[in-house]
Amino acid sequence: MIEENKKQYDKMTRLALDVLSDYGFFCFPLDVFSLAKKIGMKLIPYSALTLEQYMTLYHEHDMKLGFTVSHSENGYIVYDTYYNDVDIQEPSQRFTIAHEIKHVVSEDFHKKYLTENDEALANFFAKSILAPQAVIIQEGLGSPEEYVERFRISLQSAEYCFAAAERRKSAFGETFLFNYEREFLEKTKKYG
Amino acid sequence: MKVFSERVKRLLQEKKLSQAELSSLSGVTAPSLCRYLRGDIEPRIDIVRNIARALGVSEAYLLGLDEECSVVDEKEELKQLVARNRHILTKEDKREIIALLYGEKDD
Repeated sequence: MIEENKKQYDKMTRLALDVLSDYGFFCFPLDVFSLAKKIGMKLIPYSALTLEQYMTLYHEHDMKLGFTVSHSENGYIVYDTYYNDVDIQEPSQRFTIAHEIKHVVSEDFHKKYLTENDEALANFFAKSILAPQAVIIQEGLGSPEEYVERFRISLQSAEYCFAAAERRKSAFGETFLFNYEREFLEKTKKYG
Repeated sequence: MKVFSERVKRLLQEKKLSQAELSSLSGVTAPSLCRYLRGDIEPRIDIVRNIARALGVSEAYLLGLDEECSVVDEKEELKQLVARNRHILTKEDKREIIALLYGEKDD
């Protein structure tokens, strides 16, 4: 079970770099809003809603951060992603969009309902796409504060990423990179 | 996923589009597009969707689930037309198109 879980998380790390490579995003902090649009998501900030709609979402449906709905338009499935820009800081808005990207690219919307594991994987994917471990290792970033500065993520996310990077360094060594990570870093040098 | 790459390649020929033009229309980088068309990796649903939209066909058709490429997106057809003919358009033609797009020549 633990091995299976680890495989799923490793898959997320790779998926994050694949998505960045497929759409040509090699600069950090990641312009996650442009990436989402390029993937085909329509982004709708809560500030564009009426006060009544906002209050309903926030209080009645407990949609405090954001959510995505899919529907058909001209024969194609389109995704409308609503995100809270009213009382949520920008780093957390970026995290919400990155989280929703995972649901879109993994076809999570075809599932009857999303499990806690689906949500945990989307959170992990969000951290991996906003602050890839390959970049952290290559640049030798040494503290959560440096992560915040480099990737424009919240301190909470940065602390999580920092702990994960430290665990990885103890397991594989300070500068170890997987082949697919090296390939991605090559592209950041070439196109970033 | 052989059917996906075969159908995309055939549509490129039919529509006289290059892979570089498809890359620009779909937003998928040229190296990634190349890998998907070579069949090195399976395309994700977002990749299939963006390529289908760019080619004006249904996702189901590209995936081999449907034999008819029924969806025709006029906007995408128009973009393809411009992409296909961009080499023969003069600067003046391009300026006129831009003026049309921005409503300076509504009549």
